[in-house]
Amino acid sequence: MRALIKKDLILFKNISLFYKLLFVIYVIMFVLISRKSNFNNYDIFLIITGSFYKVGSTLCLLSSIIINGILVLLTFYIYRYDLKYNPEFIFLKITRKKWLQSKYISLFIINCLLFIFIAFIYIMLGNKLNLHLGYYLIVIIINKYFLQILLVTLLNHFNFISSLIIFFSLIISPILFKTIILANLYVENYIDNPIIVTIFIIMLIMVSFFLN
Amino acid sequence: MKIEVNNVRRKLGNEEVLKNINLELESGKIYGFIGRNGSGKTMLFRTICGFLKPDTGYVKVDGRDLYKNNEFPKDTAALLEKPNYISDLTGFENLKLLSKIKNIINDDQIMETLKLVNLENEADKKFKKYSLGMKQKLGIAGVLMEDPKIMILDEPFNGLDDESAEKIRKILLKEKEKGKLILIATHIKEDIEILGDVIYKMDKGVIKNKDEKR
Repeated sequence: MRALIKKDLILFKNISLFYKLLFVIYVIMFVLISRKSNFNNYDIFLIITGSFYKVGSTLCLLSSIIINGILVLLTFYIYRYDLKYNPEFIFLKITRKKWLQSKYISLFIINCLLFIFIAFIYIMLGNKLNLHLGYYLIVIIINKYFLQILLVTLLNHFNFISSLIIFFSLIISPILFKTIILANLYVENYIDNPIIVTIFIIMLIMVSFFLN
Repeated sequence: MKIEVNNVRRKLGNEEVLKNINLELESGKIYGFIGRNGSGKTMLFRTICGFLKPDTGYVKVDGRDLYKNNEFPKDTAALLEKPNYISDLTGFENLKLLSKIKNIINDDQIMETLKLVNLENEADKKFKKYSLGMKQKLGIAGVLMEDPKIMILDEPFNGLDDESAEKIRKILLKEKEKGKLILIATHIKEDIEILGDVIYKMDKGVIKNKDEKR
């Protein structure tokens, strides 16, 4: 299992420099813009980790979409690589259960690395990371990790399209309760009729089961 | 080792890619599968490897029903498509990484396998710099390195020059003598005629013909 985790970390490390630079630019830009928009130190940190919501703030919504989008893409990349390229090299050597466990561990490590990297740039830009923000960092990592676990579990049980539909249905389901359950992907300001959303989600889930 | 494929059918979309396939394959033989592209060879191999669940029928490897037990065949190695390793690692590092999953061989044994397929001089070269033939040889080395009892090779001679193809043929014949069960699919008749003890001709998901060497 350690070999598979190492493989995933190598894949993460080998992501194109272009994407890495884009990510750094995202963090720097959002820190600078947040500062100009008079957000305090705590809020800025939460914004760049995609975990802050303020009614009507496009900045918060954008950062949330970007960070959660990156996490979803990373999860797809790590999960699907072994299935896409020569699955016989992996699955004839290890049980699927152990392979799945390796994915959970890899994603947790990658998540930690990603958010520690964000915190590092945040400090480099002259902000202070105190004990309180450190605590937030741990909560954010765990929160985002649940999002990835959910996606991996769905991918393991359903086909690709069905997984996507259920995943996004569950992500927008907090709208129903006007509260934050999953992923901090806040869109309540944009769709705010719980009945329509309920019907929409039920339909999506039914379609996904049909497609599966 | 024994592979039993019984009454296997599989549909993909509207097309039936495997139609009532029945096979009994035993150790110490090379089984060749020949047929045009799209004749169902790869699908059959994927089914035998546990990657494509049949709609009906079963696949048993050493008496264990793969799909009933939801498992992959043990002591088996396969090359089912163009080998795709991590491009920024060397050939040796790629094989080492994969070998660590089972952890039953050491670095020297990996190097031995690379020598066997004439890749010892390219062992430290990054995979992205490998030619098509070298990639194929590395894929075959990946199959050979852990000394599996069953080897499943889909188009193993793709991209190989005559000399390398001849070398691989000799390796496979040696492996057969050691009692391995080897399955090879190809669309080139000459390749399989030299190697195969039993040759199955496939077309449109059906086994049309079985030739057995005496």
